[in-house]
Amino acid sequence: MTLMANETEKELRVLVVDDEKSIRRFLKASLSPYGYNITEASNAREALMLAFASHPDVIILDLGLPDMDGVDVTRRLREKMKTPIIILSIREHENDKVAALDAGADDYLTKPFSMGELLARLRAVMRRFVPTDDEPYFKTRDLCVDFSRRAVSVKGEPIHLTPTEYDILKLLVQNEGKVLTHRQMIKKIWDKDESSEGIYHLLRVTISNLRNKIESDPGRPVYIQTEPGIGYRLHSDL
Amino acid sequence: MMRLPIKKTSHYLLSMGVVFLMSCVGLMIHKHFEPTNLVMLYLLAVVISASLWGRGPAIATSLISVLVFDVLFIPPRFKFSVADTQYILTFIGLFVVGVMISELASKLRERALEASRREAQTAILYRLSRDLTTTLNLTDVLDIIRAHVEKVTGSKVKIYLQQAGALKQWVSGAWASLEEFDESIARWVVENVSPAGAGTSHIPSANACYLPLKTGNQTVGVLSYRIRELRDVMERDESVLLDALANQCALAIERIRLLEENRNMELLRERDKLYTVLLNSISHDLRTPLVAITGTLSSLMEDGEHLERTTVRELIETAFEESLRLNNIVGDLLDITRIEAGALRATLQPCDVRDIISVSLDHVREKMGTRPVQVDIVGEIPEVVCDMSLIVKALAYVLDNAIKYSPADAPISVTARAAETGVNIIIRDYGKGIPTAEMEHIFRKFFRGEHSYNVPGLGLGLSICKGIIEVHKGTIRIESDREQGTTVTITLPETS
Repeated sequence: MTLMANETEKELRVLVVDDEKSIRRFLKASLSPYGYNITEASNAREALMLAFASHPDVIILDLGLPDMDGVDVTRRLREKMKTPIIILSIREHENDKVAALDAGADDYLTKPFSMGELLARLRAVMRRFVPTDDEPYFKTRDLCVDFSRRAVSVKGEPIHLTPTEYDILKLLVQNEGKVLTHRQMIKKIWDKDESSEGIYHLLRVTISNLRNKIESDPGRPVYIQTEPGIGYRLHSDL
Repeated sequence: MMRLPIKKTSHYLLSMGVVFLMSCVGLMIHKHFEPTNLVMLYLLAVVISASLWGRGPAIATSLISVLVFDVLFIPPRFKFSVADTQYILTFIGLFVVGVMISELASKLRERALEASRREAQTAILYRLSRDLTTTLNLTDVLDIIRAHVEKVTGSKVKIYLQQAGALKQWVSGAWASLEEFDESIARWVVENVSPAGAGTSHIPSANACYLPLKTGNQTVGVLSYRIRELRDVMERDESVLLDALANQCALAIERIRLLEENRNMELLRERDKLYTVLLNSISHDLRTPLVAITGTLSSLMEDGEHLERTTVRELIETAFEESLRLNNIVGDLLDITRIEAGALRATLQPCDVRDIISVSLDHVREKMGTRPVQVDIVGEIPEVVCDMSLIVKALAYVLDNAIKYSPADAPISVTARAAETGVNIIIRDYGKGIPTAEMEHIFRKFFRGEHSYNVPGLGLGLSICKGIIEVHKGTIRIESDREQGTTVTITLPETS
């Protein structure tokens, strides 16, 4: 895949929010060569101020900030802007991670992470800027989805999907490479909240059926990845 | 020792019986003997009474003998009068001799009683000390003391122990509810190192007696026992015996205390040693990756430009791998700390077992390489309620072990099937197995088998795994065979 910066012909501005100087320094040094323009904030107050003032293209937000809960920061940002947010967290913040995603964050990375992972996440969330709806055709490896005809095929063989299965696949494809929480999927597909009786079970069963149809080995899925305790992600080619 | 009134009356009655018996004998033979000689029979009665029942019954015997002798044998017979005044002398003689005999005989008897009492006391003390010396813990010592003192006093007993500057009553099942004892008196006893309560000069009105348990330089506690009746209070030798008992008890308690202190010291020393070994091993495991990382970075910093591209690449790859290893070590240490502190929280949600297995396999995909992996989902299996990320972590540890301890091309199989109480996930490798002697230590943290000296790891994987499974109220079982490899069976309940 080509670099984001080349595609959009403009330098993307990234706001990095982390109280650790070494992490900000590392992110700045590593992202700059890829055409990202980095602004730094070391606490939530500064981050909110900079975000509202300069409207960056993407925000990388550490959950463990000294002055405010990362989930609250996400919520405050979302009240005013739709800028993509990527959460940085440590393994211990599993629940905060889901809370931040449900509050509107776009994706997450668990520290320590590799540059490759971060770049992939950045590319995935930035696709929100490039509308996929008018792109009628999606292909990754052997899987093809033709939105105009609601047709799905694997290795050229047409696959019959139920309407719900198709909706889930479409939702995952539109958010390719990005994690979707259980709650988000339930809301989008069934327009219900997670407390609805049996809705989680329905989601798992539908995913399982979908895998049986599109994966060559449903026991080791390559397209629809499970994020334990969080949700699902359509695996993107890196 | 026990002179109960009923017993005393019976003693008098018995001595009367003897007089009666002697009179019968006298009546049978009085035709052939002078009445004065029949006096001997009554003297015999006095001697018998004196030696068997003591002074009182003997004197009574003398008196009755004189009267009966007069009535039965002295003319006019069967009348309470004397015809011949010389018999007055016989009466006086009989009475005086009777009293003197009873005096002497009863003294003898008392001495004999005293001796047997001493013997009994010595036996009690001996038994106590024998029982106490063979005991090694405080509870048993206190139980023995209680049993013995209860036997001696025939009443309820309570022991107070001086522990860490405070007086605590020692409670054990059988005598937990004794409320007849007064702790404030016990406290007074400890402060003043002197007996108190019934039979002593301090609060003699109390219904129990409190003896200090003192050793050479300290009071270890208080031994108290109920006094049933005031009459009972403190016969002299009983109090001497109890003093001796208290002394023995105090020594026994002190001995146990010292023993325990010693044991604790030993334990502390052992733990210290273990910590040192552990710390050395952990610091080695933590330092090794750091050495590689800092080494790489410093050489890149100092003469990065002069290094060949392939060398730079190699250095960086090593440093990267080492940093991942360091991250795993830190993660493991945090996990085990959390498990041991009981701070491991599981966010429970129903999960698809097939999903759990596939994500676990993804976790070890790189280490798995090209090794054949067989996944087998047998029949319909229910969803399990669990924290999926934790269970995935646990399975990844087991898979990691299977990879580390079996040849690079040996297959690994993962089977899931419904079990009676939930779902069994069975991970099987075809490696060298676990030596039987190591099986019982396998879940101990930081334990590493003899085969693992050249395999990286801290020896925490299975401990963490077990901790995670137990949080889910599941079980983990390991079977191993040197020929056939190792099988790990994890059972997860359907609803945790």
